[in-house]
Amino acid sequence: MGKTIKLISGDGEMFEVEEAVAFQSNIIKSLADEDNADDCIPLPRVDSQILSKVLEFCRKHANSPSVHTKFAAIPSELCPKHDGSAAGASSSESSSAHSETCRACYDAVMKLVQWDLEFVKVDLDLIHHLLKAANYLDIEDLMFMAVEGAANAIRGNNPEEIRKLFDLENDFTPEEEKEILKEYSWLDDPFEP
Amino acid sequence: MFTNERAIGRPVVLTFAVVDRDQFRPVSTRATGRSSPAGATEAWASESSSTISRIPNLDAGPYSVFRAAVMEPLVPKRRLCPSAVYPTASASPPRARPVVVATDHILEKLLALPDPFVSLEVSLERLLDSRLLEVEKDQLVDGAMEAGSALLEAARRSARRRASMHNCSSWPLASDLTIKVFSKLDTQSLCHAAATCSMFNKCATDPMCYENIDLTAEVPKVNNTVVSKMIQHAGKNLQSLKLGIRSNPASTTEFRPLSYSTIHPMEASGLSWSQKRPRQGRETSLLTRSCLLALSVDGSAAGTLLRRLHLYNIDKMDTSALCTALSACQFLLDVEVVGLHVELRRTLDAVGANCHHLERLIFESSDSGRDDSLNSSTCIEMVNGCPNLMSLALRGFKLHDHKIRILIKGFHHLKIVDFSTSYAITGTFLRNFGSGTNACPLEVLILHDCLHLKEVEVSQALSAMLAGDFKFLRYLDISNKDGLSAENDWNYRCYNPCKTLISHVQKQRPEICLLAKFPPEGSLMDIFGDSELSSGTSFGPYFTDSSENSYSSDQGSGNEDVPDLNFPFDLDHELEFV
Repeated sequence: MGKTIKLISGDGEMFEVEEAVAFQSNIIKSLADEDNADDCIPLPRVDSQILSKVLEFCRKHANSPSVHTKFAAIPSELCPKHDGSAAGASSSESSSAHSETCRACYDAVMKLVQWDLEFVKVDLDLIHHLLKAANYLDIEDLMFMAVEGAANAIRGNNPEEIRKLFDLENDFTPEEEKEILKEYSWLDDPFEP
Repeated sequence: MFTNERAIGRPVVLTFAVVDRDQFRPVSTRATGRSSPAGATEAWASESSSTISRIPNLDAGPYSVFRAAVMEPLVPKRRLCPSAVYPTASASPPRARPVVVATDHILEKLLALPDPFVSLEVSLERLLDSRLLEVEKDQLVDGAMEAGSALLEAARRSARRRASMHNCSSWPLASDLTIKVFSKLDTQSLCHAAATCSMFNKCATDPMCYENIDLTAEVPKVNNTVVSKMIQHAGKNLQSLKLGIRSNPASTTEFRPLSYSTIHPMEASGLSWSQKRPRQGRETSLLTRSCLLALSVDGSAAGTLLRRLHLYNIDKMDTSALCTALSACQFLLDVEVVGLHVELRRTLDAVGANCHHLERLIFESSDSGRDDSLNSSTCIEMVNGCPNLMSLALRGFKLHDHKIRILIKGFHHLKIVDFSTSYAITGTFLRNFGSGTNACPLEVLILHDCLHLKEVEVSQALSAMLAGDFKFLRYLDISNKDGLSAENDWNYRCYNPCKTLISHVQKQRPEICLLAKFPPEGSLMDIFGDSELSSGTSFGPYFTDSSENSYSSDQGSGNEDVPDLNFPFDLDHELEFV
C-alpha cells in the first residue's frame, strides 16, 4: 500500500488515491513534489464528476507503460489500430522488438487499448470535459484518448451533420461559401454546406 | 416619435442624402431651416456642401416616415470582414455623434413599422409624387435602393457575427485543443470540419492538422493545386502523403500475417490485381507529373520530414518527376508506388541514393512483366543505400534469381518479401541458405502467381524447411493460378506440386502459415486469353475452399504429374523469356 495523495475537486469533494495513480498527471506530480507538508492538492478547475472519471482512467493505466504516446514502438505489422501511421523513426527501438516477440505483452497492450476505446465512447459533453481536464492536469494518455474520442465524433460527417452535432451555425459570407465549395469540390462525396 | 424628440430639444437632423455609391459621401442634400441648430448644419456643411431639406406635410401621422437615408460619412469604403467588429459610433468624430444617435432612432422606427412592405412602398410613392423633377425622382429611387441594401448588408453581417459568437459558446474547446482534435482527423473529415463554420475553418488551417495528408480517392478529382495547398499548409509538419486513385482506400497492400493467416490470399493482394488492369480509356488522374513539386520547393522544406509517401495510379507521373520527389525526401521510411508508369531501375536508383532510412518499399508495376530494367548494380546500390529495409515488395516486374539473391542476402533486416506476379524468377534464389550465420532471415515470403516459379525449386526449399532452415519463416505463399512450372519448360505446369512435402511442412512446422493454392486438376483454364482476364476475377472458381489447400484428392504423388495439355500461353508477348 503505497503513499496516497489527497485531491480536492472544484466542488469540494475529496479523493484519496495512490501515488502511482495520481502521478499520471504531471501537474499533480509536480504539485506534490513541491508541497511536502500539505498532502492535499486542490484542483479548482475540475469538478468531482469529471475527476472521478479521470481517476478511473488513471487507475487502469497506473501500472502499464504509456501505450498511446509511445505507439510508435509497436510495429505496424502487429498493431490493428494504427496501420503504420504511428511508425516513426523509433520503430526499431528495443521496446518494439520486445512487443513483437512477447505475445503476452502485446495482448495486454491491446486489451488496454480496447478498454480505452470503450472509455471514450461516451457523450460529447463528457469527452469535452475530459479533454479539458486532461489538458489542465497534463495526463498524456487521457489526452490522447479524449482527443481520439472527440475526433471520432467529427469523423465521417459532412458539414451539416457536424453543425447539428455540435450546435454550430454557418457564419460564412456568401463569397466564403463559394470559395469553400470550390476548394473542396474534389472530395469523394462533395457536400452542399 | 419625431414630435417627442423635438420637444426634448435635441437637434434632429433630417438629412435627405443621395449617396454616391463608391464614395459613400453625401453628394447633394438640402438643408432644413427649421429644426436643426446651427451647429449641426455646420457639421454637415463642413463635410460637404450639404443642405438639408424638410419634406412638407409628412411630419406626423400614424405612419412614421422613413425620410432619411443617412450615410455616415465615416463608413469605410472597403468591405468589412465578417468577424470584424462593425465600427461603432465611437469611431466617428464627436461632431458627427448627433447624426449617429439620430440614425439609431430612425432605424428603430423603421424596424418598428408594423407592415414595412406596404408602408414603405406607399411612402416612397408619395415621396416620388412630391418630387417635380425627373432627376429628383431618380435620385430618390436610387437612394431608396442604396438604403435598402445597406440595411440588408448590415443585418446579414450582424447575423453572421451573432452566429460566430454562438459558435464560440457552443464549442467548449480552446483553439489549441481543437487543433489537437483536428490533427487526428483524416483529410476528408478535416475538410468537412473546415467547411462547417469560420472558427473550425481557422483551426483547420493549422499545420498540425496536415501531418497525414490522404488525398486518395476512388474517382480522380484531386488536382495539383489541392495537393500543393495542403502541402503548404503542412509546412514542416508533413509526415505522410498519400495520393492517387484507389478502388478501396480502406484496404492496403500491406501484409499483415496475423490477421491474414486464415483469410483467402486473394484479399491480401486483391487490390493489386484490379489495379493491374490497364487504365487506358478510364478517366485519368487530374494529377500531373508536377503534383509532387511542392515537396521540392523551398529547399525541400516539406519533403525533408516526410516519412511516408504512397502513390497510386497517377497516370501522368513519370520516372524523372518521381525521382526528383524522392531526392527531396531524404527521411522517408515507407514508400508505396503502385501502378505508376515509372521504370524500376531508375526509381530504385533514386531510392538507394536518397532514402537511407527506408524501412518499407512496395513497388507494383503498371505493366505486368514488361519492366525488366532491374540490374545487379542497382540491387547492390539499394542494399548499400537502404540498410534498414525490413519489408520489400516488387510485384509485376521481371526479376532474376541472382538479383533477388543480392537483395535478400544484402538487406540485414529484411523480414518481409513479396515478389508476387513476378516474371522470370524461378526460385533458385532460395537455395543454400543454411542455418548458421547464412540463415535466411525472412519471416514472410510471398511468391504468389510467379509464373516461372519452378516446382523443383519449391520442393527443395520445402525440404530445407523440414531440415530446419528458414527458421524465422512464419508465412509462405506459393499459390499460383497456373500451378507451378515444370523443370525444363515453363509451358508445362504442375497443378498439384509438392503435395507430400507441403503436408509434411504443415505438420512439422506448424508455426508457418503455408498457402499453396493451385487450380484443381482437370479443370479447363481459359485464363490465358489476355492479360485482362488474368486479373483477380478469374480466381473465383478455383479457390472456393479457403481453409484447406484445394488439391484434387484423386491425384497420385503429384510431383511428377505434368499435365498433357499444352495451354496457349497467350499472355501478351511478355514471355519471350526462356
